[in-house]
Amino acid sequence: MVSRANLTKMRHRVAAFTLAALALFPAAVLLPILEVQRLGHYHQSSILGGIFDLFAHGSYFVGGIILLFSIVLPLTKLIALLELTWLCSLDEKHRARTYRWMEIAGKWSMMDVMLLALLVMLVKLSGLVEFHFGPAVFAFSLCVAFSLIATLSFDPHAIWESA
Amino acid sequence: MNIESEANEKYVAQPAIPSAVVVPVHADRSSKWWWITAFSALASVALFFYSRQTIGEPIVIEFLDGYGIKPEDRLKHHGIDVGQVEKVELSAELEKVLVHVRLQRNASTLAREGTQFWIVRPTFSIDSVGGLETILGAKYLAVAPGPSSGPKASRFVGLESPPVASAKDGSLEILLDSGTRGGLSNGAPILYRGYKIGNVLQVGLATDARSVRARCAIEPEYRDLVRTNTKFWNRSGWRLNIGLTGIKLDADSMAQVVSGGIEMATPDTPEPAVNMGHRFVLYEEVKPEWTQWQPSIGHGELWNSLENRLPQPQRMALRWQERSYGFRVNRQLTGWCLPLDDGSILCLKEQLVAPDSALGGSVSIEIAGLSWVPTSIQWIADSGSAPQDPRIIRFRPANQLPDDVALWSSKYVAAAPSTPCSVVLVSDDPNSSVALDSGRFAPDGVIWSIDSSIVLSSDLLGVPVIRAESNEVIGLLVPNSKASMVVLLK
Repeated sequence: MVSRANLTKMRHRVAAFTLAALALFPAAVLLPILEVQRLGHYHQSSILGGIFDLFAHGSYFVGGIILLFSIVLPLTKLIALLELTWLCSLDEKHRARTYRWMEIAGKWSMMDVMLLALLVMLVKLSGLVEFHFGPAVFAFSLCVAFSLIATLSFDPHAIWESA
Repeated sequence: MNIESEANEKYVAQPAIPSAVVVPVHADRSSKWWWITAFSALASVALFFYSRQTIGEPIVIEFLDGYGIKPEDRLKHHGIDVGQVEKVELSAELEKVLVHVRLQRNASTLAREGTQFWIVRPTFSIDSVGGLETILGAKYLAVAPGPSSGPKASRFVGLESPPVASAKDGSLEILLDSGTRGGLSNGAPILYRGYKIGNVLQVGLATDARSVRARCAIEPEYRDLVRTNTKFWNRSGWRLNIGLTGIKLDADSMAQVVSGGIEMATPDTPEPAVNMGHRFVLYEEVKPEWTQWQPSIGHGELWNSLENRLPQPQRMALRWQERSYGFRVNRQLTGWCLPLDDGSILCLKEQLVAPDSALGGSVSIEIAGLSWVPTSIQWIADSGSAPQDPRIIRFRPANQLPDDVALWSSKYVAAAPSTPCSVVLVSDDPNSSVALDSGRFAPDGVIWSIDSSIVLSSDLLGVPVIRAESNEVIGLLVPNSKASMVVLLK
């Protein structure tokens, strides 16, 4: 039996972490995440800037996939979580639907995978090019961690308990 | 029935579903996790602020031709990166190339009015072959900073070629008129005996279109070489002589071949020096006698400041032999000495007296192509030098120095003032003279120690030290890798 008090507590905790992740999200996406120096060329790119570069070079498919999985879906998941725990502006039927969406979005949001990819790149390329992480990496890691904590602490019972 | 009702009553009395328990919720309205949110929001703002700080100013430079410059190319100053091209685009009218550059933060002072930008690309021109690194490597933008007092600017018009070095302060600007352009171009060198003393600033038609006029700048230290009767002639490129003895190709330097050059000569009897804006005729051909002229003209900035009087110290060598591990070894000490007009020579004692380890009869002294043994030299017991342990010796050599050795008037040899003064150290090249401020000295009896931060070449041993105010020789220099000093005349 889940007590109402515990549910409210859980809601607040999830909302706190979700909001924290959302607050870090713009910094993670907009600020330069990689600084690469190779043969006198210096390149600095953010996640969003990288996606735009891909679009500019005509790689709409790859760009679209990264945009979807690393920006749109994580954002959807976070906003859905926030709605379920904090805003509660929808009625019960819609909330159930929102929960299902959130589950799907959560499965396909690949921010943590991207973080891993960055780490692998650091290890693999460190001998070939001069390679630094930009300020966004700090925001990005925290964002991933907080959104994981928020998802794990979320208890679906809250959906059927009115706030 | 009774039992039944009893049971029924029991059932009512013991409800299976417990009634709701009221739990106070107000205590949990605020979760202890909210500080995470506050921290994240702050961190996010701080990160944005931080990267704004590390990113420098954006500027836009207009070029007529982009020469293949592209994003990520660098902006360099003195060979060091100070910015990066972010974007290259055409202007709205398709006439210009707009290069967006992000300056590095520490280079934001470059974003001022008067700063000049140009694209470095391989060139074969002016004085040199330049920009070769851009043949293989990336092209880059170069910058010449404007005056530091200029107002801020973010839009610039780029130069099509590197800026022609503007005339140095104190340069002599003269005008040369000639009938045709004759291969001259901006930046062409002006040569005196094949040595570059200035360059052409600008070549253009004279205002009445009757001649081609080249505006030239002579560097400050050589302005005295240009006299009213100086002749200039065009010496562009090469001369090819094909004769019975073979083919003779005559070209001075690659730069001259490309941009042309002007040669000048001043007659043996030079007339007064010219002033700014003097007009000369630029001849097409050189007359043979011009190349024979060999006037002796003092030049250099110091020459002017010292009222055309400069000592000309002579090289002096003290040679001797020593025994080292049973072998005879030749040793020598070279330095400078100052011949005076009364036939004596001023030098340091250590330049004249070999150390005790020298083998007898092996010591010789050489000045201006002459050589003496020490015994033939007559020391002048001069009241000027300290009697008991003189550091400076005035001596009379056994025979006279050659006539062409310049002599220094003994009127301008004087005792040093009691407190240090500003001095000039003069070796044979006036342009490499060293000026030292009075604050650089620490007086210590008959010597002034020189500030250890000033490193003087050991080659300057015995160089005359001249008092800047009065042009008098007041001592000789003893350089040392740790602390040099001036030995004073007393």
